[in-house]
Amino acid sequence: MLTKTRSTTTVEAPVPAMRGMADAEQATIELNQVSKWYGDIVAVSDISFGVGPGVTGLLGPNGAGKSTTLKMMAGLQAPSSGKVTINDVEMRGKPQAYRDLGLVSEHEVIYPFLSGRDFVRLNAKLQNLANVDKAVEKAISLVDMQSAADRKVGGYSKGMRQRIKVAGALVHDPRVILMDEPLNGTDPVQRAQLIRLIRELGDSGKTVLVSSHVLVEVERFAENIIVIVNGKLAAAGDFRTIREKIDAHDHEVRIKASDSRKLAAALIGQTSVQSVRIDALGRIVASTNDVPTFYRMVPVAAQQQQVRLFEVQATDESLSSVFSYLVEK
Amino acid sequence: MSMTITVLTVRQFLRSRSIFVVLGISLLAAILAGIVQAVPDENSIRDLRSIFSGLYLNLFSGTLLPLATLVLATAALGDEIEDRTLQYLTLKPVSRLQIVFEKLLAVVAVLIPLTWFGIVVTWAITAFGNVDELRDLLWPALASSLVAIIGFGSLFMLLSLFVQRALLIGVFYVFVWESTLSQFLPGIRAISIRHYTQSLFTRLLDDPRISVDGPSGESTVVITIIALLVICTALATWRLQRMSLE
Repeated sequence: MLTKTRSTTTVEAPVPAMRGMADAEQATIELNQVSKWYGDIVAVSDISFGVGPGVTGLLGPNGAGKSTTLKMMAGLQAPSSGKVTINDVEMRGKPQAYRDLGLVSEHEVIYPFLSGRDFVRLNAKLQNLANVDKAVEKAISLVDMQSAADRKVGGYSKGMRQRIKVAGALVHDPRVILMDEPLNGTDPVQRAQLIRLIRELGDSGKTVLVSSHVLVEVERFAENIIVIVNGKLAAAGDFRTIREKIDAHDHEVRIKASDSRKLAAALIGQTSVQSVRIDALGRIVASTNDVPTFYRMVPVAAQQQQVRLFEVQATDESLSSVFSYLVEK
Repeated sequence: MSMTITVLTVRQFLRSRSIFVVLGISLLAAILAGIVQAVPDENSIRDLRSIFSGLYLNLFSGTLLPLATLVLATAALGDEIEDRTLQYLTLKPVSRLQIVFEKLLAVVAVLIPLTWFGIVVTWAITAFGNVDELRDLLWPALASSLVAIIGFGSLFMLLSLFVQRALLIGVFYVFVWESTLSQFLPGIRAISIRHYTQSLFTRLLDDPRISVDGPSGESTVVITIIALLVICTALATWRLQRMSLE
């Protein structure tokens, strides 16, 4: 269990995401005073936390250091200082440890000449599984890709590529699963399926760490979150507690709708809305200090005004601001 | 060993444009042989033997074989690093040595048929109508080309793990070191792969009229190339263990 205190950062102790103490059978991830820098650029600065069974969200704005942290956990990159272990093993230089780890990276590239089934089979074979065929079919059905499994990956949509990558990472039934922005590019149906799968994996006792920069997305699958901002640990622990702190801060939300002016006029009168403006691209940018009420209210207002919603998303600037607020808190 | 990585890499090569580049390089000598044969002068058998051995010793061993090998050997791991697919191999319970070895095996497996095709076509054009008199030239060329493929393959794959522009640096190395300096400077000759390829060719051919300066013995060639293979593979494995991957 690790507790880290910085001059500007108060990290909630003890280790987040722990559903009780991990026993010998439970997989754990631990980072102890880990930093990573590239020349003069510090990507991750002196972070310490632990993750146990269940689903933990790794939250932070783009460029916060989430991917670098996951890469260090997976052994793809060595920390500049500190120690990263999974089940007490430092992954770098220990190939046998990968029998217990599955990584879904954020990069989309998969061998385009392989079919989805061939890609999952490749992963199964490299894991030296006893029954490759059975494991492949099980993994493909987990992500509901049976009907497209024989098509070439090069012809897949972004969402399909994400799902087949998940199948490849789960084919050997690892105890620890790292997912870097797995919901990127998925449509609402695929997103719901993946979220359900992530929750099922957590419920089955696996240690699942999922990175995302979208707060409302993480809320749907993670019981615990770790927030990273500018490479520093901003907060860690129970989602609701941290969410309350986040919600106490002003949020800026961007809304793309079929009739922005009509919807903006309807939003102005709402108590959860502090200000509304239309940006240069004709999108509504609304400020709120009551996020849950705001997100519930927007679809209702749109329906009443008979306006179609295309996108409701916190602006990157707003997210950075909110996360930075956590660091200062 | 399941050879999964070798099979995957061969499939990658067969679907890439590199394969056509390699085939084109392999057939360049055949085009030259065709031009020579098209000239109406009457060539004696000795002339024809000199033409083929000249093409093999001067063009194939020092330029075409290293260039063809360079294209595939630098792509085998270099392309996977560049497009970030190498993690599908490295995040598995597979040793880095196995990854390097299987990748090199794929390079050799694809290069052998392609370069041998170029050598056989060149020989066939040169020997047209005189097959029996030139038959003994073919197998030494095929056998010694293996030395070049393994030697250059090991070296260039290692290069691709240390530098980003391995192809460019490799071309520079081929033309400056292997094709030019090793021809004129005896000290460099002994540390060029071209020298060992040529030595094995002339030793196996055993024709006093076809020779190179200071040829090494067969056993020296074999030991040198195996040593190069072991050193390059060990260094590539070491490098792959320590490099940061995206």
